[in-house]
Amino acid sequence: MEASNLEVKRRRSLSVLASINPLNYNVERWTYTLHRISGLVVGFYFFAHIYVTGQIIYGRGAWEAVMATMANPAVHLGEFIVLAFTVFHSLNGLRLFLIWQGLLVGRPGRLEFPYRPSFLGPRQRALMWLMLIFTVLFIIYGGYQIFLLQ
Amino acid sequence: MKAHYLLGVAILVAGGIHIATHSFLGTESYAKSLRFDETAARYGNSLLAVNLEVLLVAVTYHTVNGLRVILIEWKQGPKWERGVKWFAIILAVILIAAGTYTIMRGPSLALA
Repeated sequence: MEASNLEVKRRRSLSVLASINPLNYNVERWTYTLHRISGLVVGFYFFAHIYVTGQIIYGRGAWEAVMATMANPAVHLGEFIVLAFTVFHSLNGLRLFLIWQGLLVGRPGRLEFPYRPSFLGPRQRALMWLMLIFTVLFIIYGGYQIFLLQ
Repeated sequence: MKAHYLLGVAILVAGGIHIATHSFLGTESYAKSLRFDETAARYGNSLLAVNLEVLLVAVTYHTVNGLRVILIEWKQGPKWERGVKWFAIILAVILIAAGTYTIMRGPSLALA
C-alpha cells in the first residue's frame, strides 16, 4: 500500500512532534537527561561545599555561625535534593561505566526489521531497574540521616 | 572521556569513605558529625585528609570536565572552545587551591 505525498508529510511531522515529546522518551533517554541535570546541580553544590567547609579555618566561632545559618528546613530540603541527585548520578554513572565496558549490551549485529538496537536489550534494562531500586533505597537511608537523626 | 569515567569510579570509593565519616564511620549521626570538635578531629586525621585531597582533585576534574562537555556540545568554534578550555583550567585551579588550603590548615584546628 502506497501512501500519498501529503500523507507521508503528515506522518513525518507527527513523528517529529513525537520525538521531542518527553513522554515518548524511553527510560534510557530519561536517565540521560537526569544525568545532565543532576551533574549540574551536584557541581554547583560542590562549589558551595568548598566555600562553606572552608569557613572552618576561621575557628570555632565562624564554624558554629555558618552551621547555625544552615540548620533550617529549607537548607535541609536543598541537601536532600542534592543527596537524591548525587545518589542517582553515582549509580547511573556506575551503570554507564559498566555499559561502556561492554557489559550486558550484547554484540552489534546485522540491521533487521524492526531495527531494535542490540544495546537496548532486556539485560541492560534489568541493570537499569536494579540501579533505580538501589537509588531509591539509598535516598531513603540518606533522608533518614538528614531529617530524622538530629 | 576515559579519565572522566575512571575518575567517576574513583569518586565512588573516595566519596563513599567521605560520606561514611558523616554517617556511621567514627560518628553517630550526620548532625553530630558536623560539630566543630568532630570536624577538626577529622581534618587532623592524616588518612582522612589524604582521602579528602584525592576526592577534591578527582571531583574537580570530573565536574569541570563535565561542564566542558556540556559547553562544547552546546556550541562549537575555535574561539568558543579556547574560551571553554581556559574557563575550565582557571575554575579547576581555583577549586583545588581553595580546597587544598582548607585541608592544609586542618591539623592546626584540633589545637585551637
